[in-house]
Amino acid sequence: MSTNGRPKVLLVKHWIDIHDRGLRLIASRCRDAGFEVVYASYSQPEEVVKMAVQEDVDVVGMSFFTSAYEAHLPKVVEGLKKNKMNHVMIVLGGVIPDEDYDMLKKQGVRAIYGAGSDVNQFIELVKADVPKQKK
Amino acid sequence: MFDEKTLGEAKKLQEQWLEAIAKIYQGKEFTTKTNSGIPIKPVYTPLDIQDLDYQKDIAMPGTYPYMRSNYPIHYQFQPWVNQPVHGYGLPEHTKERMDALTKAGMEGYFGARSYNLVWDYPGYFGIDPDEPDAEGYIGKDGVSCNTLDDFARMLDGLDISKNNIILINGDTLPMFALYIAYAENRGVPRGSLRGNTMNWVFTAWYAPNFMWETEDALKLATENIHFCVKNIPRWNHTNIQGHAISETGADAIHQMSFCLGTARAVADSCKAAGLNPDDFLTGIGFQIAQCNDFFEYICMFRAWRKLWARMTRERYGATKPAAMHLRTHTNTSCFELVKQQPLNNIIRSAYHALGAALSGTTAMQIPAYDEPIGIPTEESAILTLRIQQILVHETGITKVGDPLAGSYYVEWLTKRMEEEGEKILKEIEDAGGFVKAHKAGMLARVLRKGCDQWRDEIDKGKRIVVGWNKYQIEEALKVKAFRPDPEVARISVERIREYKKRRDQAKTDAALNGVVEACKKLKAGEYGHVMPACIEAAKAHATAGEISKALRKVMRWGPEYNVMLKF
Repeated sequence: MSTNGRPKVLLVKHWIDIHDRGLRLIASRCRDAGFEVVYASYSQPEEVVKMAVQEDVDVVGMSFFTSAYEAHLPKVVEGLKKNKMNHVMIVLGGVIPDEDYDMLKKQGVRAIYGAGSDVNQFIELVKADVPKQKK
Repeated sequence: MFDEKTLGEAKKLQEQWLEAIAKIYQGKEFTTKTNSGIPIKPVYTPLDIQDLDYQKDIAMPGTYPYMRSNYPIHYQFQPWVNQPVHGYGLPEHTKERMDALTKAGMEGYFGARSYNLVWDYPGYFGIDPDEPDAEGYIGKDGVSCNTLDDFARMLDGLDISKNNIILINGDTLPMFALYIAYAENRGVPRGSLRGNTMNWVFTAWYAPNFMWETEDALKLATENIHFCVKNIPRWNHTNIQGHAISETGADAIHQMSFCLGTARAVADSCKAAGLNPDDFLTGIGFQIAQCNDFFEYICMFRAWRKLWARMTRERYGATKPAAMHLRTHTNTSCFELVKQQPLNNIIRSAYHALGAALSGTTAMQIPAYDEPIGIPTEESAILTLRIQQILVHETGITKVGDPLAGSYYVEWLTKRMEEEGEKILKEIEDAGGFVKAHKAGMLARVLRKGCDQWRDEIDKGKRIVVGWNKYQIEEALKVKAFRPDPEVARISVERIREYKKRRDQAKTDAALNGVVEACKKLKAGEYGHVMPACIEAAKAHATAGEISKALRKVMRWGPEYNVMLKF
């Protein structure tokens, strides 16, 4: 939680291009809910960790439209651990086949939001869980 | 449009109708709005189009301002070109999909097929598979094709002087150079090649992006056009990406206006580079999204043809009809397809495609119903072709050109789209042109607002999406996501390493240095050097990623590379 008591959310996508419609929406809704938002593009997963540490965020939301999470997620999870950021909530969104959900949750993903998900569910999750996260 | 007698009768009948609805519906309001927000009435009459001038505003198909069609006879002579986007895995995997689509009857003009090949994400952005940035993305959402050998694996055996090869990737010049080098190595002269490059260096204008900085983007786009005009006159060098603008949040009016604004910036740059409008305009095409609000998108299309014809003739002095024709590649709506009850997407796409056909499009791509779940399977890809084939062969809609012409509503709305488009084009001009308007955030504001508003309407139930916010069912998703061969990344990396090992490195380095030197000339406003230098580098076995990096030594990449926004 940032010093002003607002949850701080990092929203990232690999090489942000025109396919950021979903992530943009989440950014606006988070802002409207009073969260602090950092919205960023990255080229390698290590940069996500670096940004999470530097910005001291409570939540990392990653958007994918291919199965690149197979390569990127383990590096983000590992990197956060190394930096004593285990408390950070990781959520994924985008085009993710349902059959991958279990595998991703086992790796530490708190929630996955596919096409057509209710954005409020994410907002409510952050509001409820972030204050309980222990640094 | 009408004589006094007809208008008098229309007025009388309308009054009677107004009285009747007041009586039957007791004052209930029936006016609504199009998706772009144009207020509309429940019925239109001759009174609504009485100010239109038949010759000036409607006219015959194939005559200026070409609102009804580019051609005097269109689908009755040749239906639109089937142009399904395809590409995944290794080049040989993509070749399998190309063959499957060919076998399924994919057709183009005069028997020439159009292979609409899409690159994977690294290929889009000038990254080779052996670079760390490519990890996780190789061959996933497009083909991993980065060398002369890869082109051979994909295209050997295909008559490339007869068929169209469409290269869908982001930084355009390196991949195009590789393709030309491949063709010439095969003995096919560059002048006989046909197909499209995207020249999308300007999609960077719609979103924070990994692309060229705006002014340099325009220089590179102009260099590509300059090269094509001088060397490959039949090549469609530029694709103005309306579909991307639409997917990013634009309504019909803004899709059309922003595209025309973009095209104006490109054409201004070509003219300043000394090119003849009759030569370069014929290679500019528009990728148009056909979305919900059936009639509005048809009217947008008709108005678009008219505005483009007027712009090319009046602003640029085009004299050849071909230079005034709006070349269109329809890419039906993707953002309106949903994951819930995914088979419904086939129905949605069929309506979008029907709208595009009634608009008189010249080529068509339809997304597969399973794209909210993954990249298309062979079966779902062929289904998109079937939608087109059923439209052509079973519905009978190709029998008459511009069949909606003369509809009071369609003609009225087409005129309104034209007026709204002109208004926005003027706003762009007043803001100092498209580049300045973009830099000032004009586009981003409109697009983001459009996106948020669309979703707000869905969340509040003001906009119904069947299966998503109405008529939901509990469903276990039966559609399995398509997954390319997991070995693709490893093989692709091994291949490019081998490719680099086998070559004469000194020769490659010298050729890449030639690209850098050519870019310095381009930077100083001198055209005609960069594309030939890129082709030389490709022939010296430089990879697509390496050519891209050479360009980046001089041309600015970004500036929003690794953009970070805070709110």
